Amino acid sequence: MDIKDIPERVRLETDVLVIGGGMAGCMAALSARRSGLNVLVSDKANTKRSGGGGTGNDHFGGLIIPGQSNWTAEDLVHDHTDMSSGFLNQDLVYVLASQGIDRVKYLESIGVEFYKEPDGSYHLFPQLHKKRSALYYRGRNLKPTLSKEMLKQKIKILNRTAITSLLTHGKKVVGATGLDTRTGQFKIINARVVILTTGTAFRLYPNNTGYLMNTYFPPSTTGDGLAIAYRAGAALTNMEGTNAIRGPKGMERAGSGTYWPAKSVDAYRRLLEYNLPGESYYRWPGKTAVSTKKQFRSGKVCLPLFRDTVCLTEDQIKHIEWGLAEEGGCWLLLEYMKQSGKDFRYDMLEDDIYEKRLSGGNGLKVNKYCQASIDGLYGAGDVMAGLPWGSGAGALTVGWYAGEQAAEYAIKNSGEMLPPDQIEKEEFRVYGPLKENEGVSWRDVNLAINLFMNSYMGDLRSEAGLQIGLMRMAELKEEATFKADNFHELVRVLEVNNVLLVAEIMMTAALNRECSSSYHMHYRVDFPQLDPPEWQKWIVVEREGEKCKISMEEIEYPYGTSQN
Amino acid sequence: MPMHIRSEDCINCNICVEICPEDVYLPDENGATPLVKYPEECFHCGACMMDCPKGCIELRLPPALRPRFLRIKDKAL
Repeated sequence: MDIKDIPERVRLETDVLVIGGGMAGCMAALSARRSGLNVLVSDKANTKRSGGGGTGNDHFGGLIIPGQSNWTAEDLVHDHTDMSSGFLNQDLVYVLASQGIDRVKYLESIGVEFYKEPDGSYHLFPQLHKKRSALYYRGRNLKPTLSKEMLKQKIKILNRTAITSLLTHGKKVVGATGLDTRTGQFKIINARVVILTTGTAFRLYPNNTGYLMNTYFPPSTTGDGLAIAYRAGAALTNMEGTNAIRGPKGMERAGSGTYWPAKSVDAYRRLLEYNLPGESYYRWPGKTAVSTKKQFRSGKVCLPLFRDTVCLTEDQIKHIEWGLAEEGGCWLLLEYMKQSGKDFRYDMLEDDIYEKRLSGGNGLKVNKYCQASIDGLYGAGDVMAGLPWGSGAGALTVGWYAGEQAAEYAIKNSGEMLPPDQIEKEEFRVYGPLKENEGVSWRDVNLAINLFMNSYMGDLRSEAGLQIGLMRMAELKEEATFKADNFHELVRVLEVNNVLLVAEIMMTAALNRECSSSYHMHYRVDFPQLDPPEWQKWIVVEREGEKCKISMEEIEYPYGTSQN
Repeated sequence: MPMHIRSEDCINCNICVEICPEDVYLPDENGATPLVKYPEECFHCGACMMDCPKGCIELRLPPALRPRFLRIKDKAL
């Protein structure tokens, strides 16, 4: 293909640039727009069906309903602190708990239906906490609804645009560069403030099926926001935390639905015992790891594990089916069941361990206002550190909140001129693979990253192993001259470059956590002491020239903990 | 192959091309049924199946990606 066919680059200006049009991005845009500012949302795909909530969501968790919940937002913060072993930003959890109900009402006002009891009260159920803190809702068409609302509010949507870098003026973000994923056009965006809502990073580790793109959320969720923020000089934290949850064997997209109150049983249909309610046992594996290992070592648990719905009542099964029909790929699971004559009334669903990934609450270091460590940058949803298992509600509620905060910033700060040298350098980097006659494909490099993460940052880690791992990543960068034959492949190359950077950052962070940590599923053979109190801190990574600077920060608990 | 379009029912509206989160589809040059250009990049979100106005997109999961079940005789645990 001929680079001369690429349309001329385009320059755009806005007040608030939202990078990533998923649940968090749409809400951030809608809330920022209320201030009257111009808002532009860019999405690598199409906001109608992009992101983790693209084809639906059935649960909205972590909220307190005044007059209905029998505990307070502060109580929920304490519970979340306990479940995450204290690796969280309590202020952000408080936002989730206290503002969730306002977001529910907003979503209802634009046509989203939440499951209610016959008397009109919301149906609260236990999902991630010791008390009931989650609602069911019809989320299947949430994204088309949010997209329609964004157009109605005259928010500019730039679909099929992969953001490739943040532009900075000193330590301030002033805009971004992007690539049209279909025409290859280079886009330069000037903004007063940027909100990153790009989600977490998948494709770091292999999954059991062997299919590279069989990920829990869209495989194009490749840590782009983490990578561009890091390159721009923003701090990331908690990057040493990994997690491998359980879910239905096979297509991982079926894993995020609400299967509660299905029981967890082994191959002999023996009940697994956990002291946590709801779905905590497979959503907080770091918390349940000790109990899980004990049961397995006792010889009383034989793999595989199953979700037993056969023992449930007809009403309970109907409820599960209602929820799953609204949740992304779980709807596809129901379709498959119909096609193949399977029924929750007679058939137990088999589980598997999903791919290892970031544990949750890892990424862009933000303060209580969702503000990053460099000016002009905010973050919300899975891209930000501090809200493990924020999930859909985290994206929606904290996304809206971040939009408000960013808008306040934009009102007080004018935009700045864009740096021409950064733009030229970035354009050269982005188009490079199209000019190569020979080179390696993005897929081959991705497989090597998976292999190295599994080998050196797997279940058991050590200083020597992680150092060899970092050496292998450096070798990979040296060896890999990427080649792309079209813009689709070019975007995949940019993604794998970002996955590679995220992998290096994770290994570096893991190298610096010199203890074992159950929450992070980080077991150091050379530092076997588990969860020592002196390591109850954030490991912060920041780019300093070509090197990665590490610092430690105390975790603050402004709401205290349930122990005090 | 993860997705199959029944071309006899397809009205070539290209909605599947427009909304696929993984850019798996390519529009046909002559305006006919879109191509499933990158089938191995499909992660089975079902967006195309949901949004196809004619319901002519079929799910075809390869063996390793199919959910697996165990039929149980007794209702009680």
